[in-house]
Amino acid sequence: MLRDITLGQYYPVDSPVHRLDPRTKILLTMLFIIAVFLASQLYLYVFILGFLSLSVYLSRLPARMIIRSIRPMRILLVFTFILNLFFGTGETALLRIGPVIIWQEGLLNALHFTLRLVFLVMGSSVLTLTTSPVTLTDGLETLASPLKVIKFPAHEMAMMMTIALRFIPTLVEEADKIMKAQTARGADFTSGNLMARARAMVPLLVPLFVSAFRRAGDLAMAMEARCYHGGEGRTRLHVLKIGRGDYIAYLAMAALYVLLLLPRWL
Amino acid sequence: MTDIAHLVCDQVTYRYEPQAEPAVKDISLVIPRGQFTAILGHNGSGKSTLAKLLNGLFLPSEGRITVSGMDTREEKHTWDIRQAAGMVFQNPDNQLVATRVYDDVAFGLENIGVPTEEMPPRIDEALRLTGMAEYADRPPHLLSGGQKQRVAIAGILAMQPQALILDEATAMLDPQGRKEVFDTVARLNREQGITVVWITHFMEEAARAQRVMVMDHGAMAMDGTPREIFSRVEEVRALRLDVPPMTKLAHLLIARGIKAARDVLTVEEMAREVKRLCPSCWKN
Amino acid sequence: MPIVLEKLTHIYQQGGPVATTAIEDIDLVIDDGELLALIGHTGSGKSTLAQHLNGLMKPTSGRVLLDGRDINAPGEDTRKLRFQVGLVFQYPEHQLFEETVYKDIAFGPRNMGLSNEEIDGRVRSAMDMVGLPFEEIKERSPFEVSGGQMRRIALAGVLAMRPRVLVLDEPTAGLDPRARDLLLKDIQRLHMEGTTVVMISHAMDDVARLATRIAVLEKGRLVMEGLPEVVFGRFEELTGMGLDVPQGCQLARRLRELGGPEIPDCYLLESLADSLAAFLKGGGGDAA
Repeated sequence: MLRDITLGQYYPVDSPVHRLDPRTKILLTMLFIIAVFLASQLYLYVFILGFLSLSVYLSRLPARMIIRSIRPMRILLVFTFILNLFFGTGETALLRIGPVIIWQEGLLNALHFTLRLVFLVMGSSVLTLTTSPVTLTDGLETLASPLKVIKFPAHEMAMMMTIALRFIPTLVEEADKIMKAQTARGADFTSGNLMARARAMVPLLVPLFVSAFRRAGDLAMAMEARCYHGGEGRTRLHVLKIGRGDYIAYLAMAALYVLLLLPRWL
Repeated sequence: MTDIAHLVCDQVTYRYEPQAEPAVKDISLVIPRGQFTAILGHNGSGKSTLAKLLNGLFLPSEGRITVSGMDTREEKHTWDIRQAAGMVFQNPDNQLVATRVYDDVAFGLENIGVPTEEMPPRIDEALRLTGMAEYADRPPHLLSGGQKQRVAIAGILAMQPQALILDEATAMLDPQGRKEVFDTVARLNREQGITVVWITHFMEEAARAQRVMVMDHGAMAMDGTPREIFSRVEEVRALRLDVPPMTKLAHLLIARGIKAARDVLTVEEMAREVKRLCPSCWKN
Repeated sequence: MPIVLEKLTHIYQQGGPVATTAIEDIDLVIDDGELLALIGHTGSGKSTLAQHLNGLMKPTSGRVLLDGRDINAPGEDTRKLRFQVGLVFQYPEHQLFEETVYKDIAFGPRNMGLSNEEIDGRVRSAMDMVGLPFEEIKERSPFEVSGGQMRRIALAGVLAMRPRVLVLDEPTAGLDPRARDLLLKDIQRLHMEGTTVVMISHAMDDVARLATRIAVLEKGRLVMEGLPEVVFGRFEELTGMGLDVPQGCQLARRLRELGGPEIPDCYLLESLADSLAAFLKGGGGDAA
């Protein structure tokens, strides 16, 4: 049933990676992405793969979940590979098929770009699979809070994300109900050309927006009644704490950087 | 607390727009500490507006409202008043904020700046009092309507209020959810001495209150015990409301020439009334 | 015999890890002209059953027959058959979307491909049936009227398709006593004028007032079915399922328990008052 939809892809098990402070995980994910771009030679991806495998192993995630995470990207990956392969130029020709020449540099570029994309997606998946959306929001809020000096609404952004997470299942359920109600009145959401289908969405979208606005109004009132008045003077149930695990994770990341940068210095 | 008068309205009028017809007209009332008051009235009678005035969500256009002696118009009291007079709304889906029951109960505590280490005991206690402890880790959208309302009540209880204002909190629930929520609130009233203002369309709920007020066109039309109010069947009907079924039955009997009491409220009272009217009809 | 349900079963996510049986093995005939009340606990499968009646949901097994034709058979135009069974969801005002009341009510007839004159006639009569003043509100936005009126506009939107069977899911939920009363009167009149009505309701006093027959669902199964006096007579079973019983029947039972009089027609207050008054007068009620 629709009631059971889960948001994001959080995989709820207990592991050292799950227990890391969300701020650590967000920062490490960013550092990991930069690391991926630092790999100047193909063999350096072995270290990247090693780091990734280690974090997947420690996070007790099934490896197939990580591999599956690139599935939505597969067309883009193939496209990137082919584009670089066929349209790059260079000096060493590897293969000639009629007028098409495949260059060595083209192949290298194709591999580089494709691998970067794959690791990028896999790395961020480790973050989203091991961190619940709520914790992630907490982490983002705390990380962004120094930006309050430049009037960046860190608390408000986080509150908006929390509320969105809370209401998406409700609205999905509601959309399903409205769709059924309009179908019962003979609405047809599935046939006709693009234009006709877009028009057919009006009886679904208007009530959905009306309902979302009504809910927003109700919720604002309820939050005010529960003494909500912005982030000022607010305490928190979940306080983020940097622990030993976090330091170890940072150290591991530092090690990865050394491995990746060493060839440049030697 | 020594003050007996808990929620006080003194000639309160409220208009949504400066020139508009008042939604609440010249209402004066005193609700003593610990009383369970039901407010009845058809849609648009002003009862929801009155509820929102009582915890400072709306401020009176004229007149004065005090909660435990604090004037709702004084800004320094706003948060104390909202904490002291918690409010539960009609739609159970539209008042929970967090994606987990436990975190939602914490929401109010975070807002009023309760230190982190003091939160868990207060949250646990609130969940226990509403019978929702075993649901602490659930996401709200998987709960029944009655359970969601109990979470909303827990969220308020954690803030240790002295009054609960429920604005048609049972209107969207099934009979079981209604019973769950009513019984929870009745128990809090009885055991914790919390003042309750219960706004409803359901006559059987009002019949269980200590006091019933009926609103009409923004004004207070009737005020008394359930027995006094519902025995005035014609007046209640004229206000486009109903009376509990057993009161209706008593009046049907009277119309059929039986000398039944006019103020019967419950099945049990009606059974006793039949017994009184015909002592010889019983086997024992 | 417009609707026959044969061994109707619906399983959500069949074969999946969280397969749940919503309704199971339901045999039920809905006769022409009756007002069948469908009662049961939340989650007993009432709404799932209702959505099978017009083909919105397809049975996992079993059949739904409309005039002897399986509405889900290959080759049947389910969409056409759907116009014969009007389904009004819970809180139907949440489906309103047009700029004017008129256009919203016309949505169904328009989807049926009717002519403008025909649509106009149907909108007028549908508004009339639910007591909405045509000239006064046809050009108004459906979002600017009262809650009770919104509910009736939504109902009119289904009635304008002139269904032979009207299925109502909790039609009075959330309405105040007066709006509820008006709506129940509309439903009763529609039924009197020949529409077959299936009504899902938690409000037993409403059911007692309107139903000609009651079917009780529990955990997806049809556990009881019959005339109101028969069903409400099985007091213990109903309360055992956590269902309400009209207060009149609670009284009749209490009197019996106390060794008092047997009052037969308990479920309608008027007839209960009649029998009780007759009894009190005859049995020496005034002698005391």
